[in-house]
Amino acid sequence: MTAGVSAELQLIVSPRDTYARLARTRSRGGVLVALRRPALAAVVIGAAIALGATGHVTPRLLLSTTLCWAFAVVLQIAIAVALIAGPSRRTVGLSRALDLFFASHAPWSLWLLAAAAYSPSALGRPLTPLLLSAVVPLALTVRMIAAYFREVLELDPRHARVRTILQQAATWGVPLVLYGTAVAFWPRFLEVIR
Amino acid sequence: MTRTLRLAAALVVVVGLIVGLSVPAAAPRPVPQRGGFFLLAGDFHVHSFPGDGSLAPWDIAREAARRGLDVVALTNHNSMLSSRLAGYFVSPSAALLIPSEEITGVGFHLAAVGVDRTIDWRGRVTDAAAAVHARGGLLIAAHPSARFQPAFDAPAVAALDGVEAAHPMIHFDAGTRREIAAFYQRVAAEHPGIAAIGSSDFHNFAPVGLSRTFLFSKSRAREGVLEAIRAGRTVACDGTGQAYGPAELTALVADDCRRAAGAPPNDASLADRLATWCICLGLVALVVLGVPG
Repeated sequence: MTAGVSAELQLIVSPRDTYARLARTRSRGGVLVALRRPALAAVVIGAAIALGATGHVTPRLLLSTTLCWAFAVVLQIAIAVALIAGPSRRTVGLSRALDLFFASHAPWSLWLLAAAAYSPSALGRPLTPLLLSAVVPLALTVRMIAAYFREVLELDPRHARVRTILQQAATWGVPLVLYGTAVAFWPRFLEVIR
Repeated sequence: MTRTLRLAAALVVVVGLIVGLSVPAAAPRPVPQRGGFFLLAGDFHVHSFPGDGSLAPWDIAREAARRGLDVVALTNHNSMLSSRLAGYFVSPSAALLIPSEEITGVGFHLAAVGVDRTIDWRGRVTDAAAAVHARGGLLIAAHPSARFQPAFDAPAVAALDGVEAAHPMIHFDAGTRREIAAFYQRVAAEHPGIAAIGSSDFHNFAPVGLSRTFLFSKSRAREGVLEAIRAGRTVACDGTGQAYGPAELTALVADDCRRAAGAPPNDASLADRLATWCICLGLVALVVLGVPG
């Protein structure tokens, strides 16, 4: 039934079964295996930013946006490695574990490209539907990450929940702090409390 | 079968990249002359990476040229890191970038254009104005909706060099449009000769220069741009092509405003569209088809 359907799509539909199967599947390890999915995510982010900001994608622009925003993927890798390296009964190596972790990026990758194509503007499409639609990849990803911790790291339900919460807190918390700095959060906060 | 599809998707991306390489960069805009001045188009409120904007300064400069702009001010919040990077990496053939910042204070936002270091946000508008003018820059009231207007008492208004009379916010709702229009009229009455500025406040979504400023400048260099604003020889244009500013100047650029609104990029071509479609659809396919194993 699932033959020919990618692991990424199967994970969206049935994350626990798919991660259990992927964790049992023998696969080569190594740096290339660990970085192929993060690399694809970085290029997708670069393309989405280029398309949203300019309405087109050229090789030069894609290279620039991908390199500039690769820090977001590097941050994801750092968070994942910190959580994977913690106590667990995982039977796959670190590189394969990282590879499988990034298999859960598909919902956000597709949403980013769709958001860039939608491209809201003051004179065109409104921003609110786009923001509301982000609930879909958010919910799917949380479900997939929880399944990852259960099936790939073989954690019990409670520990899998804790690591999912930690992963989401770090994934959103660090960028929120960076964004707060970029938009000068402090004077805005002072303005509100006055 | 999936393997073949993956290869096909990767090939589509590669074709997009190759076609994209063949698209020539936007040619520099021939700058027209009007009334003995260069008629420059500028955007004096643009956010960039690293900051809360998505494009790096070098990409902003190229994108601005693509959108028919001659000059852009990089105005990140209380930061000049992006402007410093621009000094190292921006090609001189792209739009002129003026080091700037958006002074984000308590109750006011000001575009400080042409400064060489960050200005303290913790004072009043007049304190910021004194610091900006001492550094050779000029000060523009940014998106002056009702929320920000209490900070602009008479001394603050007198210290301004320009007001954002056209900003994308005016297209969101009629109330904000009225507030900004009323503020510009009040400031123009109290401070005749103040520059009408149109800015896009670009962050993440296209286009840079949605609202823009036409300047009657004595030169195409940074000094000429700053002098034109100080002298009030500007017209602000909004995203629908409406012009704001002194009647004698708006009459000279009304057609340019209308043409700029909704104009396609300078390098719009079939090859450019094909490259974009191939790269994006190829990437969608690669995400959906997944990675082997």
